Amino acid sequence: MSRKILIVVACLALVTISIYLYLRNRDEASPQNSKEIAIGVVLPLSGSMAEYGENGRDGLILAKEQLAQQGVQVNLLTQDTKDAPEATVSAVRRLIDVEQVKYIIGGLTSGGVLAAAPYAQTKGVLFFSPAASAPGIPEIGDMIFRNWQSDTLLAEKFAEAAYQKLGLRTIAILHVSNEYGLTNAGTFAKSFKARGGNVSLMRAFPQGTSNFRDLVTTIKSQVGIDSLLLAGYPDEYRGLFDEIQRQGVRGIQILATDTFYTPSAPTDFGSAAEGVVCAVAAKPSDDYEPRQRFAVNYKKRFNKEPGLVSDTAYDALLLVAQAIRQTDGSPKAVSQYLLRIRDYQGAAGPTTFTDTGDITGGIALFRLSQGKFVPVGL
Amino acid sequence: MLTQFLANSVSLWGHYALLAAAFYFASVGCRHFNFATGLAFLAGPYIALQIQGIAGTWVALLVSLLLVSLIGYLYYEGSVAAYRRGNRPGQLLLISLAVLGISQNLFSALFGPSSRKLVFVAIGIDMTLFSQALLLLALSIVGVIDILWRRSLFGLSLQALNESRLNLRLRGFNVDAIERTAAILGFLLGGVAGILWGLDLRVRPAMGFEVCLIGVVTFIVGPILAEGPRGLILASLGIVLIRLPLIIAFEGDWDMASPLLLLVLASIVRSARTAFKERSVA
Repeated sequence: MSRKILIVVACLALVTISIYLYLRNRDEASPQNSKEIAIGVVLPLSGSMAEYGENGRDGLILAKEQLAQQGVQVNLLTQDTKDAPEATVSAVRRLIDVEQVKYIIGGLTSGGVLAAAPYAQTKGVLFFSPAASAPGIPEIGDMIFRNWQSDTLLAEKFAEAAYQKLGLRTIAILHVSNEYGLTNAGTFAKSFKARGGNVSLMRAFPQGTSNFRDLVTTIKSQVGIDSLLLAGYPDEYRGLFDEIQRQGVRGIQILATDTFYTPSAPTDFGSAAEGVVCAVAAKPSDDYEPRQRFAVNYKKRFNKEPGLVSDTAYDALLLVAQAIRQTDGSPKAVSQYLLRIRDYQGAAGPTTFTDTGDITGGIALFRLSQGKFVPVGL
Repeated sequence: MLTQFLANSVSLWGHYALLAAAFYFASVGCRHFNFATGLAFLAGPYIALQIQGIAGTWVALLVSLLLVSLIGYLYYEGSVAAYRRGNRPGQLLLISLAVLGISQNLFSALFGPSSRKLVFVAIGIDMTLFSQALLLLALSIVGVIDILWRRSLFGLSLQALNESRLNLRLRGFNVDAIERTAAILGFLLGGVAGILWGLDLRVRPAMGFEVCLIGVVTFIVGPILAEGPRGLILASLGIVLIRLPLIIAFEGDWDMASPLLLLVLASIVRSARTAFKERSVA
């Protein structure tokens, strides 16, 4: 009897705690006044993408604080998506169905955005990704936007630069086996071959792998390659460069996709990463005032340099907030306003959306040299 | 390059053999397949990483192994208490799975989800660059365990324990002490396996479940091949031998698939052998 009572009491306690937590979250989430804008945020704050998630969160916090100084109160309802598409879907569904947000910013992995964005589109919720790069994302619908260049564009131009500017002819490719890795590796290989280059090997590795010993041995066994392209995330780069150093891979030019361009690269990836060339979406020069201002404020607020995604997340929130203030605030009106914007002077550069809600632009190459990213002239 | 692939595989064999021994002893000691050994695999390197900066590498290794042994002791006492309350091995297996799941999340929350590497510099030389030395160390440990299993009273009593617990008790052996020692040894080996993995490659909190696959497969296949640690060494070798041609010829996550392929292969061979024996008798 006493055991049954204990079970009932335990169940009641769990239900009570759940209700309390739910109500507390709702209280935190509910607008403090009618002018407060509730924006759902889906970012990977744990898992192998956490570094980018934190960069994005910091960019959003900075934008939120600056908006508050202008009298615009924003409530960011943040959900951790880890690095799994299914977690992004759950987070987006929760924000839409439970929190009833009308705008969502986030979704750093293409797989996650491709899985979750259709739901937002169906529910008429504006979804703005500051980093998802796979082709086809803005084409999901008129509610889906991004201010990050498509991998297809970036990889095509990177392959062109690798062949023409860097003079590379035979390359091996190692990529993470998800939408990001597949698109980058596939597009780069296609573009490189079209220019007369040779792709001697293309191998995928699962996200989160830490043992790259055999993959690096495979690269070493490739005769005649002059370069190696890596498309992964920081956690995988650490393991890869450990192994590249251990096995003494020398004499080939290592290229990396935009995920390599992170402030922690010089210290995290070791000496084997010295000389790596990576391609990122072209950013305005240092004397471009909005970027300069952003960088100064970011460093002042967080005591670190802005990382990948910080600037685009910052711009995303400012763009959405501006659109909300300039319209009646309905997602449809916000979407139409964003499409009309021309040369918005953001931290990531001037932004103009295509008619599908995408952006276009050039690329910039950087070489990691003596602990710093040095621009490589194109 | 085949030599390099072979060297890589042999190095992996050392890690797997140590893991297999860890899971085996922890499971025999606790009388259920013990997923919580994966916790020891994580605790070893992560505790060492935390202490290393404060007290130096040797102290860090020592303290981490002591703490891992303590975890083993506590887990054993907990499982004994659960048995006394009437829990069955199947229930304890699930509890061990829950312990590992919670631990993984805890490690991720405390130390971050990213992979970490243990660096061990002795006489100015980065020892982590000598994976063959680590392999030799791992295999030597399993070799010593095998000798203990075959020659020492502890090993012989463990063999007898596998046959009949009651019989051993009736002969005057302190069965509880034997099981406790085996469980602690299993956790200790798990900690050593984690530390060597962290020195040679990198450890992540999510690896707790991944290494369980090696533990499960070698626990099942090992005894089919040979008795005691020798069977575990052979089963581990089987995994890396199956993995070798796959990683050379195909791309994919063969680290997870190879143990399962060995399990399937062992099941087929065992069924065929049983059928052959039955036919011979008939």
